[in-house]
Amino acid sequence: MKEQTVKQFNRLPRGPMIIATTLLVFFISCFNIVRVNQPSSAMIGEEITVTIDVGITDDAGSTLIFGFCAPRSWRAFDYTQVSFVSSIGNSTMSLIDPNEVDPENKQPWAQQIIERVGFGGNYGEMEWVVFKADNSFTPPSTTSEDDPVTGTITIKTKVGPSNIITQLGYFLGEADWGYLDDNSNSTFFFEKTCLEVQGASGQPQDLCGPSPRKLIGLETYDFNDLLIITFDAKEDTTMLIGANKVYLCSTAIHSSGSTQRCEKTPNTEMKKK
Amino acid sequence: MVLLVGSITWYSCEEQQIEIPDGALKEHTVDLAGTWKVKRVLLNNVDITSVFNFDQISLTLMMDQAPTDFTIETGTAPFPVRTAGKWQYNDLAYPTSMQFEAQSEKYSVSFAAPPISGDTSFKISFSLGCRDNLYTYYFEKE
Repeated sequence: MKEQTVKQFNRLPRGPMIIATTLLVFFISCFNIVRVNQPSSAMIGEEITVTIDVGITDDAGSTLIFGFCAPRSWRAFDYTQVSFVSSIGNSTMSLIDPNEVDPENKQPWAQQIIERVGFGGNYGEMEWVVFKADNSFTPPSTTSEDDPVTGTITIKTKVGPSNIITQLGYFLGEADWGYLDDNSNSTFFFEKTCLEVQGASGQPQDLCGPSPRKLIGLETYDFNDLLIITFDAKEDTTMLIGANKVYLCSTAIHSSGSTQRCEKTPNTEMKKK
Repeated sequence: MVLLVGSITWYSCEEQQIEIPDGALKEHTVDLAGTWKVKRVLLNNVDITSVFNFDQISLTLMMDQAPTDFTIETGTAPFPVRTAGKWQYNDLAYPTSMQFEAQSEKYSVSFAAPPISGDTSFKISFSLGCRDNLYTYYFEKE
């Protein structure tokens, strides 16, 4: 399959290079994600259904690996069911043993997907949950780009209890050969439209937006520690860029309400670094 | 055989006669008496001296052969102890920590480097709240 692709690539004139590169990504993958049907919003605690139409263009491998990238707060390990129907057989999928390593790199699947695929447009707070087909089916030897095995993967998952905006991701691979280093037998897809979970009080946590500013450098602290709050106007597009003096306006929330200190005095003036 | 071993031991003892000068083995208490100001502060090995007014801290250590009393002014700056009391070393000659006792409470801080008797600086390390956060104060004699 690879040889054929390279020949096609060499024959192409220089003009349509960008198109050819795009096609190459599709050609060298044994899996094509044809279509993802995913809701764009959900209510807290709701079960959503996602379907993924897939084409398999190679007969190597028989046991499907599926990865689902979801917010950690959803606890997708506990609340997700995956199954597929295809032109060569149907199966449920089960959570892969976290200690199971792929035959190629001898590392757990989730760890490798995190390293090689990442979390898409989410700034963090995500995890990859990996499933393995309960039944194996070998595609016929005639399987090719022109005669692919087709199928649909169905994911049912319960969204979490808080307002969140997140980009969901999907990974396909196969367990017999493992996660090949050239990615030739795997593929992944992040749904462009971020899904918004609504229904709880308060602002949503927007994982698709910029990561929150880290105000305090310490990982852990308590009331006795000296907390140093840092602010760099250049990290954002605020009116404070170029300001000579910046004052801290703070609100402390406690059991009997809140206390605000929002004054322009030397006590609240932030020191320049 | 027993006789032979006995004679060898006796012989070697005879040869190792070493004259020790008077007072050579006497251990001296590390002298840190005086008033000390904080000149440099690290928090988890990051220099934070310039982001807070640590000049507010003034520590006076008193000694009479051994540690006796101390006084402390902290202002709003963090320090493990905030009122005067007694202090002591864990070891008079080779201390690795010093202990402050004030209002029936004991606070132990470690020397970040072995203190040198009569020197003009010493440094201590301690945690205030979370154990994860280590403060190192460099004191200089006023």
